[in-house]
Amino acid sequence: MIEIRPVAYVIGRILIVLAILMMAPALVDLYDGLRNGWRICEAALVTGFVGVCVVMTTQNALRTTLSVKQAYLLTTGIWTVVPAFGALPFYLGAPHLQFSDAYFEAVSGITTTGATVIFGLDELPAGMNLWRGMLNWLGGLGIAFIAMIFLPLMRVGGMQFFRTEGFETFGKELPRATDLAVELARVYMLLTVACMISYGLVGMTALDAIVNGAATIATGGFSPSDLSFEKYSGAGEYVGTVFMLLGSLPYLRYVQLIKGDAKPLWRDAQARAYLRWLALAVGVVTLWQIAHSGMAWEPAFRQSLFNLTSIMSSTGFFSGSFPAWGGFMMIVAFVIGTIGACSGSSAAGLSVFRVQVALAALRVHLAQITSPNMVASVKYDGRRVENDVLNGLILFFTGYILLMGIMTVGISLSGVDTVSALFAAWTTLGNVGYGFGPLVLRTGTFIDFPQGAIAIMTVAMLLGRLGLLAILVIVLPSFYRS
Amino acid sequence: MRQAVDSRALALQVCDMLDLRPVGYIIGLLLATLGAMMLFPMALDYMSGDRNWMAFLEASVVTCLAGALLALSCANSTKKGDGITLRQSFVLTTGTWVALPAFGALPFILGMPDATVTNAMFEAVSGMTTTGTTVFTGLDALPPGVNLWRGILQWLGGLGIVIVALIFLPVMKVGGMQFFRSEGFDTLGKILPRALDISSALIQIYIVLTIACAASYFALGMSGFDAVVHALTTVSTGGFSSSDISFGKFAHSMEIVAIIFMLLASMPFIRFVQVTQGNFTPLWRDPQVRAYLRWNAYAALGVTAYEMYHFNRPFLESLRESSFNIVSTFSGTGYASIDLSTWGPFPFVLLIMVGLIGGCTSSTGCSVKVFRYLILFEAIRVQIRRLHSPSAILEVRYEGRRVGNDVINSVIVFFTLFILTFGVVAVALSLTGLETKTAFTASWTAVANIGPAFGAEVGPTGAVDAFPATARWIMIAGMLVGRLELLSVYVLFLARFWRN
Repeated sequence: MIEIRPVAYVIGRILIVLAILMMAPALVDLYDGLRNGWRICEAALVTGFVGVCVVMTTQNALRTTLSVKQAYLLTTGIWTVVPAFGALPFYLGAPHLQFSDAYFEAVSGITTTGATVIFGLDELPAGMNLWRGMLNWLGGLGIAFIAMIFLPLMRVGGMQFFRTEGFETFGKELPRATDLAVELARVYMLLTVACMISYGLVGMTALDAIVNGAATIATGGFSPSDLSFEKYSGAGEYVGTVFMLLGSLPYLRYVQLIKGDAKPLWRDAQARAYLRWLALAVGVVTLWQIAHSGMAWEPAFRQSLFNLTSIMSSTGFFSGSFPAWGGFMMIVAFVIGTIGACSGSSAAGLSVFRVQVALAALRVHLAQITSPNMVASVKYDGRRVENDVLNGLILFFTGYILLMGIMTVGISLSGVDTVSALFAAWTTLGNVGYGFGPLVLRTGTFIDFPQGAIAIMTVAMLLGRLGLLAILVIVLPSFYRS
Repeated sequence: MRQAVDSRALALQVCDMLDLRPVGYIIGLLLATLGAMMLFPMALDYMSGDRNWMAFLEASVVTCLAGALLALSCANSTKKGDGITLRQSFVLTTGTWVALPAFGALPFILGMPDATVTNAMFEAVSGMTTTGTTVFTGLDALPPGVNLWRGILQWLGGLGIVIVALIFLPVMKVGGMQFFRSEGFDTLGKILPRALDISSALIQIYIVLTIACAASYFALGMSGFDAVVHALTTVSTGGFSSSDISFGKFAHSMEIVAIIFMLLASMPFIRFVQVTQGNFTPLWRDPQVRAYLRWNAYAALGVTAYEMYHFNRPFLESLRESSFNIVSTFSGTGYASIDLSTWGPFPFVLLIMVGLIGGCTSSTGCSVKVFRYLILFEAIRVQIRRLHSPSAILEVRYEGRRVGNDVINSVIVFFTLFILTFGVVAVALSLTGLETKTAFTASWTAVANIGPAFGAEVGPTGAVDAFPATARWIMIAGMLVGRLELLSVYVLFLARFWRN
């Protein structure tokens, strides 16, 4: 049997932090003289109380380091429990969502998806939009930790390939983890502040700059306006593109950059492929749109650059008429959204790394068919990819595709039309946040989706965020047997 | 000067490394056979007094001549009892599926539908790959010979793929098929002699199935001609129909016959060979067959329940309707009895899903195949178990046999490649100006060899004649690649393949 008290203890501590953070939007609303501020205070009180209770009952349980099973339980626990409390402000406060919608919104925030069920964001109290941005930001920070520290140890989806770069063995994990965590948090803060200031310089209001800045670096995509970035088209889109890209490169490289070594970032095979593929997609879609509709080249380029970056980095901002371009663009968007950005960043999706290795494996396999006696190994970045890494990774790949199919069936079962259902599965499983299809087109949000679909999408976001297997493992009964 | 010498040396080397003559010889013989088959529709048209018989005669003469010339010019290359090499068999399979439709398209160009080269080639490839997507409208008004020829193309394509799946794919190690190697054949050297044995058993079974199917259709009231054409396309899981409204034309009892024969045609034919030898256990115990039937039942029942709940349809009617359309898609046949776009979102998505699974291996069915999914699920299960007990020794088993790592790898590679191909074809199709849904389903129907496509550009009879010519050629490529299990075609594009 697994000892769950250390897990509960950590989650309790996080809840207390969450409660303290809730005071920020509460204060903003109270300062604006809105009664909504008190509602957020209630939510903070509940969260804090539960957190304290859990910590008190499990106190001092965290004496040793966590075991692998506990790490699984902890990651899944954090990402399911924290949004339940993060949803309280939406439930008690201004939009007065029903709980399933509020939970969807919070999960969408904390998984940095950015799909929203709130329409009329501009009329929302400032505190609520701030809270949405904060959820995005915290989720992005959290996953950067998890992706660098826990997932490689859990051997999820071939992530153990990165193990040697991050941490050697499990025993040494916690002490080294704190080191790296500090560095990571510093990089993340720095990027966020830079992003917010840049947004301020191109003319955003203070609230918009803060919320958009937090959501950009987290590759989240919650925007304080129904128009998303259309409100700041032009310079805002270019600045947004730059910071979305920065937010979706492997963070470890930034840590190395700060230590004065720019070479790993420059040489990173993943980052290079990511930028190359993205540039290709933007180029093709721009040309297609110009040829197709006779749009002037600058807006066509700007909109496809911003929107496709937003999709591939799994952010989810949109701008201009892009979502209605249709046809070829939608299929390109589907492909690059499924690929996603780099692993080791706050982005989700299959990740460029996995696609690269899968392609390398394909090449080797084809070669082996013609010359069966050839000994060839799959290489990535000059390093040999071991068989267990390859297996885990490729099964992640296929599992992802299968799951996307199953989710589409599930969502369409609730009465959603096929295109909307497919893109809903795509956007939630890949934590993209971008919506396509007839059901989304009216508002640009997911407000018109039936409750059944919302529930499935909530699960899909969590699965996509935690690398599928982390959750699937916990569902197996044999996990709890020892 | 020096360069000239070099290039001649190179040319010699090229001749040296891959002897294409045995391939040419076999394709030549197949072409001659195809030319001979054209005499059936010719006779039918002649008897029914349609002037279109001339077209078949011309096409037949051209095809036979070309085939005979090719065979003769390559004849002295094969010594008796000599097999063909692995690389030759790759060229052979792809070559066959490109050359035969090219000649099979001739009657459509010379004769009645007066098709363009694109349309004729599309129709012939759609036939030989047992896809069943058509570019012709007004099928009912076509001369009977043309409809018979469409049926014969599918029938030949179905027979061809069963033989390829049993004989060539296992030695080619395409998509995990090497797992079935011991059941079919042992070594490559023995291919031709043993191939003839098994092939003749297969052909017998295939003919028996076809006759049984035609007789059942006829007994239930189809006209003799319709019964034959539909039997040819049912047993090959092809899906061409002699009518624009496909099965909508016939009594409901026909659908039940069709369900039975479509299911039979998408089960492993090697099991039927064993049944004729009096051994029923392998068929009964085959996990692939069981899973296939089970999944069919789940899907059909799911759709039935949905239809009953949402549209208040009577149970039996919606059960028949949903099983017919599910089985038709699952097996890759592609008949329709109703307008599937009125089915509601859930059945539609389910239809897409089952189309991506497909029938069993070594049948006329298409797509990824049940076998590969079973291996995939098992591998995923083992992988998940390995995650939390890293030191346990777990192995993937299928039918009680251990599945080697190379089989698992090729299955996964196949699956990944299938999804990639599907995506690339969809992107390419949408680039020709098709809207998203059309591009998606057209790619689905082409790569998985199913038949129907959905979307705004698809005609009311399901014909894709309104697609741009480029899109039709992309679909032709997709159908060929999908039918030949992707890898056996892609290999030809590797420089390494042609080098020594």
